[in-house]
Amino acid sequence: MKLLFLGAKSVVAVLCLVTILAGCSTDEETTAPPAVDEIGSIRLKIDNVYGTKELALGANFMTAGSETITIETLKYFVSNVRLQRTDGTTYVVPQDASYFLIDEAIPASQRLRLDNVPAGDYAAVTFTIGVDSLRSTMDVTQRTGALDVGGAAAGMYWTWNSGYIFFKMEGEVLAAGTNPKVPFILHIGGFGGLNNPTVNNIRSVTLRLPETARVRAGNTPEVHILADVAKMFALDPVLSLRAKPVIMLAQESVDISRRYASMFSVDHVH
Amino acid sequence: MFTRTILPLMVAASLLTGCGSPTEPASSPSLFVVPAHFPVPLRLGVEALCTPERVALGRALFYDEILSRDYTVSCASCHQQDYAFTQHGHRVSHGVDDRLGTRNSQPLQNLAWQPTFLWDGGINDLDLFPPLPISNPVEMDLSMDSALMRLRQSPRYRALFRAAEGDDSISTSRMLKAFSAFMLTMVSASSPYDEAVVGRTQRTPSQTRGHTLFQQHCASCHTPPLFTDHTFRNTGLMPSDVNDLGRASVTLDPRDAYAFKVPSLRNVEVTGPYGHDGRYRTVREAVAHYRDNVATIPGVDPAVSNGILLRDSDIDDIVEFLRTLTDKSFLTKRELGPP
Repeated sequence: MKLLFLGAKSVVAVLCLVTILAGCSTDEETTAPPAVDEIGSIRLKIDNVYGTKELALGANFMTAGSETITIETLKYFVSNVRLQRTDGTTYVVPQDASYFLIDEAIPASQRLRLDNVPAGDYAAVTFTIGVDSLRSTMDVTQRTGALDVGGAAAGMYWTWNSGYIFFKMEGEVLAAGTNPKVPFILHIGGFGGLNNPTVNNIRSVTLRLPETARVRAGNTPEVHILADVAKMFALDPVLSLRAKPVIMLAQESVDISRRYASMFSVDHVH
Repeated sequence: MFTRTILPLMVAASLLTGCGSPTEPASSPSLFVVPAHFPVPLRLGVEALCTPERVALGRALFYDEILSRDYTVSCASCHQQDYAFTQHGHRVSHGVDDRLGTRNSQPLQNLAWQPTFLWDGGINDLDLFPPLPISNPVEMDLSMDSALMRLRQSPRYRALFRAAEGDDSISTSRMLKAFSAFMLTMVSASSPYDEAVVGRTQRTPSQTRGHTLFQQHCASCHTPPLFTDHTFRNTGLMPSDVNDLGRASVTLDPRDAYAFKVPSLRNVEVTGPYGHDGRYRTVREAVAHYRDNVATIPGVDPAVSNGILLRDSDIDDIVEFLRTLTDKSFLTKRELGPP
């Protein structure tokens, strides 16, 4: 009883100490060079936006080509993450732990946490938008998690022409004249083909970080990435969904993947 | 005496099974055997995959309407054993609500030797075939996650998965591997043609003439012993209103427009109607196509673009020869039928 009573006091004291230590960590622990074999974690937060606004599903947005659109579905794969250190060396996230499906409707899907990252100072992040060709042809036992065709990836897979849909955006575009709303469907995939070469929409982006991300055992930086969908439409020449509202597996898809690869930037690191 | 000997054996057997890791059930003989006169299968590891327990699970899935939205259609609805796993008499396949597809269902046989699947070769891996008919709105119209959910709620399937995989966890890949295991046991290699090849039977004079004509005019694409070279060719079938582009819808290469997979001719007598859209009712009409109906459209394969010069009696003989490819044991084998 006595012990317990004392305990409560010490707990408060310990808590205070922890808070102080935690407060210190960003200054002292992260500027010191990392210990050999020290590992930590890093978070990537991917925020889908439209220009200066949050991207809200169902809201109206104006494209660079002056078309009013509403977006109902926005999903895409992020994979094969690599982190470049300030000294130019690279840490490649183990492939099995490097597939993510970003879904605008599921906030948790927009926060990627990479664990077991070697402590270090990181200056840039590289990732693939889509699924690499090797994994796209792997045995079904290697397609788990985000890649499970009977689970998370069910709506992101072409069953009749085996391959993942890398990027899916669906919604409506307000058209002129008597037909006010036209549905648009962008299903972009294509890993290059197994037996015959075909479209390859595997795109990779490298984003420099405005501040160094210092990964330490006691410090987990968060890289805040913006995916600005407005940029997809603004890229020259301006994209018109009214002119071509449906693009799936076709040569035109290469232009769409070029566009969405341009929409990523790092806002800040904290 | 009997019970005394059998009891320790049973205990020993259960102990032995217990030793295996949960994902590695006790090894059993494979139900997949490569016929002596066949080449090495393209697919690796088929013997190991086709354990009796996994094949039994695949067979249960193949014949079960639980995998269609309204519990009315199973894989076997469009792939009937008596007709070498095609849908007899249907130009194109019927799904739930009697919805129609655009293509004729292909036979399921000798799949371990097949590099691609579908008329256009859109699928490269048999394991990834079932999600297409299961989720296709004009076939079984059930999402894959709903399909897995139904299986997980079924005590019968939990038992079948446990027997096949060592525990009753039901995952996409376990389900798809079981489907493959069963379908890979659909090996047709015991037709009168095969008997003649190994010298057990003699061909009739008409079959012999037909065989000679076949070697001369057909075998460069329909190459024995599988009776296909697995290529995609435009055979000059005049495109219909559906305007099915065939291989080009997969490769996006205009040169592949209207090219379709060269189908195997094994069991061709029972797999009618013929052509990717089932436009020919009889084997005779399908053979006569190459003499009478090769359309002048761009991209027709040079092997057939000028038509094949055949007398009526030649066509009769070729048809007689093709009948020797009917494998009665394959079409009636109990193990390939409903469980």
